[in-house]
Amino acid sequence: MTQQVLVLICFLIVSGALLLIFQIVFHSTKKEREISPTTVNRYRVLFFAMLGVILGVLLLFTLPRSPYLLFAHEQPEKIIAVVTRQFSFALSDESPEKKWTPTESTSGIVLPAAALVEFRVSSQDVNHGFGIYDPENNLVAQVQSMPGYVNRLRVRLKKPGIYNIFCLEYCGLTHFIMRTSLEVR
Amino acid sequence: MTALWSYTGLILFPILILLGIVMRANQGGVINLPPDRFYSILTLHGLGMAGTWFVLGMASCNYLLNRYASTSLVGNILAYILTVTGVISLVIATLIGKFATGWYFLYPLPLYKAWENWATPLFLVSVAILGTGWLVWTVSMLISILRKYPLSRALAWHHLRGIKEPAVPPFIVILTATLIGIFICLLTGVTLLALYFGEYFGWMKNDALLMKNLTFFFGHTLVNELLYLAVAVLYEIYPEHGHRPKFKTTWYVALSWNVTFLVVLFAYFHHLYMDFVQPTGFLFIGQIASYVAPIPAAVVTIFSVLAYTFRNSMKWNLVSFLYFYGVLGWAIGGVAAVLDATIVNNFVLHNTLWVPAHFHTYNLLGQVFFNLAFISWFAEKVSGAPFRSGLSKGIFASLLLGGWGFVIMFYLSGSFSIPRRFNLYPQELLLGSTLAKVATVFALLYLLGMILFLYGASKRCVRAFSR
Repeated sequence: MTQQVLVLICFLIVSGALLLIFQIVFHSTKKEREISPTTVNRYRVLFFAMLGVILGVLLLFTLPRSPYLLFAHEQPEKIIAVVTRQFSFALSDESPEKKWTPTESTSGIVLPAAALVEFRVSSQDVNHGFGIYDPENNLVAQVQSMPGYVNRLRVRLKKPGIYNIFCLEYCGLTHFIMRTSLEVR
Repeated sequence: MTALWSYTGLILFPILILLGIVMRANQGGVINLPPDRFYSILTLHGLGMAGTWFVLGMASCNYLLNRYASTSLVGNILAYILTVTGVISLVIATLIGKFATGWYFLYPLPLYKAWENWATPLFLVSVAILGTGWLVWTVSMLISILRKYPLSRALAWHHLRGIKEPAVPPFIVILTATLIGIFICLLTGVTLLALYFGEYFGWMKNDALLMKNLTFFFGHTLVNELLYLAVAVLYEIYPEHGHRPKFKTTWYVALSWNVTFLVVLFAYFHHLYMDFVQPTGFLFIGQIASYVAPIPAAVVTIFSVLAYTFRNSMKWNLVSFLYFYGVLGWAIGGVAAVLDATIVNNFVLHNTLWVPAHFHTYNLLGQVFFNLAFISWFAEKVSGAPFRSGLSKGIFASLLLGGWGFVIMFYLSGSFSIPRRFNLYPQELLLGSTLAKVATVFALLYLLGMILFLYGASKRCVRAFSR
């Protein structure tokens, strides 16, 4: 199961619970009864504590797993320079200053499976996105490509196969055709 | 003026929905638009929707503010004139000049012209006109409040010190906090435009990261604040439909809205999660602020609406239905927003259709419901004729079914990694096309609900004017 589907399931469970609560409250209006403000506030405090604990635990659990800290103390096995411009990518294992060679269909880059790779992504014109899709077409990693800056993305691409790369930041009229690919063996 | 704003908004909204339907139909392969047309429509749709609901929120707050303080008619009229002028220029820049950068006109794309040469300056000028009109209106409303209440009282700081008197309505507390937020983000918008003009005339070169921060501070904060305008109105009108006293300002209401006002200013960092060069501390602040911001809303507003409704013999009509189920849409959209604002999730959801999924949920099924509730309340009040039960059911069912069906297609698309802002989907992601086709049908149903609403509201307003 992909992370996205897991997020969708969490979302559906919480939304379902909310819908149930709202329906219960809606149907309760058929029978009127006074409720003291003390009771309301007791439940309010309970709700506040519950929400605070859930969000606090989620924060503590997720922040250390953010992509900026992942593999931060490891040495990448491969460094791939990525330069973007309207409407193509250029990937190479040399420096970003390499002569421009647009690679619209495939970059020719082959990476060893599960190797730690650092993509150094920069743009020569406007903002672009660098979204890596696995062989099953699931988005597995991404970073923005910004003029004047180099974003460093470290990932391990585990499944062997062809990984498509799409531009995920709107960059102009033919943004939707801006793509390339790489192979993981 | 409130009727004029409402009419204008109710005419613009179905047109903007239609533009959205055209885009989804194109993504679904039902029609075939050239990319320049698709992206100019995308730009107009995004900015038009945000602008329409912002001004309707402002107009409803302006109307209700008269219950507590006299407002400036000049500020209101000036805002209307500048908004209409700005909208006309925007339509010319996008539909004729084919300016197509998306709502956020992310630097430096507007300067890489793939459209008419005059479209970029006209677009920037139209945003400046709109910003000026809204700034004048914001300041005039703030002045109206501050003439009646000192700032510390308007923000209910005395409640934070445990002093309950003098009483301040929650509407005033929320509106004051929101207007200050709007004022700050409009000033940021002015700075952004000044930097754009500076580069456009060749006086300077801008920094892409700074411009991105300014853009999202301006855009994200404004969209949040327009939702709070509608919530302020809810505090006034929803309790008119039950048999319990109106909402009162307490220490936790005061604390909640003061905290929200501050925290919401830092939540925009979540738009830059995938810009790894942004200082990591800011990105973590983005997640913390995005987690803290919904707590006051959930614990105070959403919980208060549920507590008020529970076992209360409510008068259920179009207004109360729209408010009650609008709060549900707001809450569910908030859950989706929090999931997306979690950095590890954003890593695989950013710029997929999950993003429009969440903001369409709390807008189409939350904030829009709140504003429609106000308009129907207003139309009934001025005409003395309530919406008929059959018409109300037709409107409500179409909006609810159409709206939820439409956003569910976005959620499914996001979960299957379908990117946003794609004119057409590549072979590998054709599922996005199928889901877009289904979404088109649901959007048409939502549009039908809006047309029915426009009919009902117009009929009542015409009756009021003819009396």
